[in-house]
Amino acid sequence: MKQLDKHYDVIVIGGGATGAGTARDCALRGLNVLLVERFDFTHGATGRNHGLLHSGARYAVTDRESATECIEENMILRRIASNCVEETGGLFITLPEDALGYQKTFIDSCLAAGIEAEAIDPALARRLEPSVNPSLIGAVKVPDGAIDPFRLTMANVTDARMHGADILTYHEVTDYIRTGNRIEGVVMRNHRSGGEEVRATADVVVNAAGIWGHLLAEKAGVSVKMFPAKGSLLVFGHRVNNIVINRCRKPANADILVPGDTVCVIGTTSDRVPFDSVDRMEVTPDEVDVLLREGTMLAPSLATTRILRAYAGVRPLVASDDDPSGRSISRGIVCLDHAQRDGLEGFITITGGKLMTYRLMAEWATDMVCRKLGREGVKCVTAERPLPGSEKSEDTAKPATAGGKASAGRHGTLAANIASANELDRALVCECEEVSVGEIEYAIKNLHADNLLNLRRRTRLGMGTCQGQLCVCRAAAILEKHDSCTERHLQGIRSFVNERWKGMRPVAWGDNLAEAQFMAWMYGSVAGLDSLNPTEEMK
Amino acid sequence: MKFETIVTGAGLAGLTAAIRLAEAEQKVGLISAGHSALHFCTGSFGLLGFDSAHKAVEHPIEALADLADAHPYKKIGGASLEGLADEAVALLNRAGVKTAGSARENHTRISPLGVLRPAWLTLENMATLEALKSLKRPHVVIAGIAGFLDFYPRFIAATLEKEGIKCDIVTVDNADLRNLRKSESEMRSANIARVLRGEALVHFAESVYDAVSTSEPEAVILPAVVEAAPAVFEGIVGRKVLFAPTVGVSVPGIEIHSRLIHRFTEAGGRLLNGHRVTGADFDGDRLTAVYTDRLDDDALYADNFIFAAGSFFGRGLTATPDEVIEPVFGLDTAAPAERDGWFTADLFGVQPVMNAGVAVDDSFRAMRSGVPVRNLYAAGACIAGADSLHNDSGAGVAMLTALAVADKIIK
Amino acid sequence: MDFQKENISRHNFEQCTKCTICTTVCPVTPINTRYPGPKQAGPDGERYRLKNPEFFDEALKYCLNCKRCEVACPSDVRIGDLILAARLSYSAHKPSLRDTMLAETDIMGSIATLAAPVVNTSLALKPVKYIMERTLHIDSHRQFPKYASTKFETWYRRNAEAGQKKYSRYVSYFHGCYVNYNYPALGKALIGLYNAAGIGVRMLERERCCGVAKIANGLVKEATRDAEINLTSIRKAAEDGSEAVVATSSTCCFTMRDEYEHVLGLDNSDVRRSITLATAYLSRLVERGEVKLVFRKDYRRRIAYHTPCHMERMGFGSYSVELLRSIPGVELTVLGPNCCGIAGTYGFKQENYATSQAIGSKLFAEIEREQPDFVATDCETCKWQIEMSTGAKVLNPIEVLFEALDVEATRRANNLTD
Repeated sequence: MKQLDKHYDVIVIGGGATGAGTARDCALRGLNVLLVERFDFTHGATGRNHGLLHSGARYAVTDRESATECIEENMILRRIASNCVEETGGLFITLPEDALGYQKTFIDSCLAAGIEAEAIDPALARRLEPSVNPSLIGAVKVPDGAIDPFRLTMANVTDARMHGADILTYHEVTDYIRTGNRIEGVVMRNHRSGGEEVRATADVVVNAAGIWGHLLAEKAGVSVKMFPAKGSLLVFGHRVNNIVINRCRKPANADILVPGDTVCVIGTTSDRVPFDSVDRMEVTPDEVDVLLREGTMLAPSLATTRILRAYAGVRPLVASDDDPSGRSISRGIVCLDHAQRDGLEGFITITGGKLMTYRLMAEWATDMVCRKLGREGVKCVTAERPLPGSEKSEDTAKPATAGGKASAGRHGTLAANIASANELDRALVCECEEVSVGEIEYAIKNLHADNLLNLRRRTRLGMGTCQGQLCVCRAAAILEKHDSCTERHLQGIRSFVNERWKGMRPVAWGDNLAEAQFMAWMYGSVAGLDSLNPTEEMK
Repeated sequence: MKFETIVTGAGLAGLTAAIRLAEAEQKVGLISAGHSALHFCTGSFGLLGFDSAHKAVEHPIEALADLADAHPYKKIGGASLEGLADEAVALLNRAGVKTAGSARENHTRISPLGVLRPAWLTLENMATLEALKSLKRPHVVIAGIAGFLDFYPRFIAATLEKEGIKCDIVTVDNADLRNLRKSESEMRSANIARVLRGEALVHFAESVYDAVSTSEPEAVILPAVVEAAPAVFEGIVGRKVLFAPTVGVSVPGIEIHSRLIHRFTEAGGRLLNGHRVTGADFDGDRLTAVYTDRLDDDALYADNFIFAAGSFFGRGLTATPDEVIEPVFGLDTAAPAERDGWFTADLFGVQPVMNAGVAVDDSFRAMRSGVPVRNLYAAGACIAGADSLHNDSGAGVAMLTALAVADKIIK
Repeated sequence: MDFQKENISRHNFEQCTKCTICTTVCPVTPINTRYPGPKQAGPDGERYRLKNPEFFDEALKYCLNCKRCEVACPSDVRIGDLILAARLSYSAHKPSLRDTMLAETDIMGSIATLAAPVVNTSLALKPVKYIMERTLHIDSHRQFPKYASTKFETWYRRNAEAGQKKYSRYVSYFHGCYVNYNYPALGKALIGLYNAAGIGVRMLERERCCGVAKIANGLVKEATRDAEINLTSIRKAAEDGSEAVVATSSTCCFTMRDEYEHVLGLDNSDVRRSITLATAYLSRLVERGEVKLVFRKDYRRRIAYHTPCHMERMGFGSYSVELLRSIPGVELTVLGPNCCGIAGTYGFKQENYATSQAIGSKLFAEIEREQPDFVATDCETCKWQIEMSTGAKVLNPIEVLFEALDVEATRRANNLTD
């Protein structure tokens, strides 16, 4: 057992966007913060969504409040997270089988929520976005965009750390330290040291663990009724569209196609799933078929575009407190002071909401933490202060190399810290996503990366067309050079490849099956990893 | 154009059959739609590395008996297998591909990541565990190349150390290598090999000598990134030089490929390079001609045809979301019916779809609408029932089925 | 499911499995490290360019457009087309005077043939070469092909046209700039050979440069204009009863068959099959027994055949090889699959000279080892490069066939009287 020396003002549980955002906000307000995550940052729902910078238009008709929150946060994120955002714009298209009458209701609702929405001629829509279904009969322009949740979360983590926060990944909260009706800290299992128990104390503990927050609340003896809703998505091999395409109708399955970085993503489905399945989501053939069928309605060329992988995330739907059956779901942000609600001191749950409103959720949670600590005086600055990497840069020189351009895209102004002076640093590890040796080293030294999956989430290593044919070995060798854990990284390659396979499997036909066979052959018989006894799956 | 036999696919199977037939003085056309999987062959061939329970095999010929009946080796028949395996070695030898190893007993190759694997044949100058163990003192120096990311001395050393072989690790660098690595993406094995020719090869040998000169071992292990290491190379380095495989495109693999191609054309074979078969004419249960994407409506006629276009990677087979198909001739395939049943969660375990292939009769004649095509034989990875990945038997299945089919055509 | 029967996206680049085989055959990468290689320049780069055109890299200009990457690709990715198309759509580099001069073969050729003796002498003069190198950056090692004093077209009209009408079957000859302005002898050999076999040879109503040099130098508009004129003439010829349009240059043939569609985006599907190479057309007739060729008994030559890159990509190599092999006294070696390095106008540019020669070195060494009586190849720029770099004499297979042909016996064998 290990007891951390420092006593914290606040411990934030959960390394998704909300937890990272809360840790940052707390740190910026001068609090002593510990951020803990059971596996890696963005391991949960943050790393498994569309990457859509919602304008809020999608919710305008059905949920005015969410819509307004979205557009406000949308404008804030463009300012503070410019390096994570692509200002692509969005279209809501009406197809012949949809009622064109809905378009007017939609535009009116958008305008009422403060979302710019302008009907444009279908011919103009086809010119703006050549991939759009040419049979469209109506189109509305809205300020949608794309946001990279991995970068966004890491920028929050980095800023929190720059402002004094301590950070523990691979530390799973298994219990609380409590005295009577007060939570005074957490008990964690360190997955990296064979399950060693680690304790940390704080005045306030914030539960920001998404769907897993349900279980964390239960452990604290309070009940926050959440329902896991599975959403499946498909990643296509390249950017078919450069503008977000939505269907102008009541929200339904697979009606958003988002261009993000080098790919585009169609989604989602939405199905309630049992709690015991949230750690092993699999995309079913039926879901793939639905996503494809609906996706081709938005952009017909998806019918012949290679699909790289399928994945699924779990949204936490929160039951209203007055209706725990789950029939009445609150879609908005839920910020609970368990002292008021359940008589449990020192414990806050922040949940509901969506990626778009992570900052607002963090602000609410931090406001509540400050009230509890009696530090209401400090103002929240997260709506104004740019995240690291997104500061305005005076340096306008563009990098000359492909890898340099890609790194600059991923790390923004922080890319200046990536070694690129000599050719050994500039050599590409991942050719599909242009990740250099320098960028891998940077991630290992600065971004809490010590396994291949960490590196993927920090750099896009292995996220391109080939899903990690050669880059994985190259990156593993760099990791191994840092810590000499040869066996662990050899197993890491096997585990990484299988994690890629999990996403490829539901869509393994055509070129993807050729790729998978190549992969199985290269890593299995050629490299010989099929004769290793598999150890624990890398997270 | 008219041929006696047309072979579709110039991988190990197609080349083996084509060479065999050309050597028997047939007029052979070999249609190659791009370079083959041979380019990734690390310099070792597997006949049967693992049995169906994925247990390492020591004596392949003996273990063949335990394979499933649907396996192509079973169709060849136990009695002929050993002879064909020897014939395969002889054919490689005639092409200038010198190997060590035997079908009767596997030896141990070292994978690019340092994993030890059973192997049937290994190129003579490649490092095998046996070769290293036969050194006077169990001590080697592994020389990496600065900026070359596809060779893993530390992983290889970790394995060899466990086997009681002490490893020093050094890094080689020189002006030629520095020049190549100015490119962010092209400091790869095949490009290094193309740079290290002529004088540059001598300079490289000198650089290796400099890098290992303070090290005591009698043998140096280098990444397999030189096309052919003449004796003079070893002379300059001043020690025994053995090569270890790299990840990705393999220089020994390219070497084997070009030697086999050379052997084929030298024996009078006609190579149609970069042609993709797009169509065929059938006359009842006979295939009369094939067409390629390059030659418009010019038919390629032959008495016999060999289909050796590979599996999914080779594009001999493909899959739609609903079925596994052979897209050119419309041959029957044997594959699990539903996509749901094609895969399992562990990529390194059994993947039923990887066992799919063209259905053949006992003479390896391909089936079409339930009937064997009388003059169309299948060879290599396209044949159903050869789970080559799982058995590590790709090279063996390719060469032995190719030889078996060629023999049937010659007779 | 009705979807996903195939993955054919723009330029089919998603079929790429990232196997990197293309990078092992690219003649440029081991020599010029500024070139990112076919995989990075092609399918990898295309994903990035689709995201943001800023990712376009001007170093793509170092691509030779030899298409060896496409021939080697096991997944049928049109890598060379991707690279060329990217250069044409994204490059900010405007063709220089030098590039335009090299590319405008028709204009330059027409002027030069008018004053051939003067031009030939002056192009060969040291001071002129010096000035060309200093001001135009055309490498001074280069020997410009000599200009003929009479264009092939003019010769044809004066001397051959009338005689072609008597053949019941005929083809249209796409002579190309080289035959027209520099080397009419090849065109004359073709007419001699075909006529002996009973096939008439006519001209297209209007022929412009195939466009390969303009495409390579970024003059898309000009190339498209020429291509459209050619396609119109080719269609007209087909309607009029011409059996095929034959070229003696593999690159002209390749450009019209493949680059018109893949690079310029023109629909040539109705006539693509009728555009062929002179050896291919003849070889098919010989194989079908429609035409017989009888060769001289005293013809004894050791020939090394070099397959030009575009010939390799067209897949027509075996036609030329089989015809040459059918000459009884010929001992033929097929040289290895290596680029000669000239790549049309590429090697003429001063900045590419060293790369060009280094690329060709493997081929040159092989020729020097073989010591043939001469080299045969179907491409005129390969011819210049090999002649300049090895001193070996280079002939087009059509010239070889005609040289070896027993004209009278062939005429008799094809039942030609008079």
